[in-house]
Amino acid sequence: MMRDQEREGRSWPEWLEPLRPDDMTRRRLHRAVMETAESMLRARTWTEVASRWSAVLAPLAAGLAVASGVLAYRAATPDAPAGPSVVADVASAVAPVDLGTYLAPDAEAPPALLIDVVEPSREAVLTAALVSR
Amino acid sequence: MASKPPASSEGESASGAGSGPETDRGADEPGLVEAVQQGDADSYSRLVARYMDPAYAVALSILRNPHDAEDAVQAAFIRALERIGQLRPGSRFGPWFYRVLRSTCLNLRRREMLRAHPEVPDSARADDDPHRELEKKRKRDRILEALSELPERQRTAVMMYDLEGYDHAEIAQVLEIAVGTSRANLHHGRQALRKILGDSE
Repeated sequence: MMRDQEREGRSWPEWLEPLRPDDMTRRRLHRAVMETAESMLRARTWTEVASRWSAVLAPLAAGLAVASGVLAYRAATPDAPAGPSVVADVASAVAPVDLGTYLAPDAEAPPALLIDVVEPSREAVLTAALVSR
Repeated sequence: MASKPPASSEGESASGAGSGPETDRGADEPGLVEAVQQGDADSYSRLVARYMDPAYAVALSILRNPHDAEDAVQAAFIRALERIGQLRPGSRFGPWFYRVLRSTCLNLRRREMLRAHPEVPDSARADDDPHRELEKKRKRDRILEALSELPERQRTAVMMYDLEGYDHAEIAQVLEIAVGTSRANLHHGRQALRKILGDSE
């Protein structure tokens, strides 16, 4: 019998025998508990499998989402400068590069007069010094 | 079968009653618990079978009604399964399960006190002979009555040792008393029970 197989160790005290469930009660209780327990354990197993897979697939899904977002952005704005090629151009340029054209290609060019930095001649400098005295 | 009063020194020698068998009984429990945590229903079935009788007796001693005791035991086993993930590796199922069972019984008793429905007689639920059922109920009530007459510390010792299967070292640890005190409480509790049950026969 189940109880004889399972109740190991100290024997059940005889004086407590009336508190013990009868066989029918014991079987009914065991069946009721195990019916619920088995369905709970099955559901738990499925949940665990699903959560394990979602943990594996989540980074992949995130990567795919970012990649498709970038592609969609590029498809929507064909004139947009390509980020990586700007970096490559600037990094590989031998001469100093005017970053303004890369970073803000549509910006209005500043007035040429304000930034005309032609080196003054030696005569002009001397003349200016004499005048200032 | 007559319910004999407990012998005063039955099963508790000076060398520490139950410590050997108890250790054996709990030895495979961490493995069973781990298997259940992995989703093994057969292992849980073994734990349920192992704790069914003492769980029912504990529930009966608290609720004093077989119908409620059955409800409580069933609910406690389900609650325990829901929370079995909380058990640390290497833990035994029993002591933790009895805590779940006690709290389930107390919750049920609170609810039942509010509802106060009459006990369903055993004869109405079982197919057995009504006279035998009546006799069984009489004996059961006598034991429950006798247990309730014991002082708290003696009742706890008897319940924990005889019903729940703790050994004295475990009782001492749970109740924060000396092992010798646990032995003395059990001894006096059993003596008192013997007297009460003997007097009432």
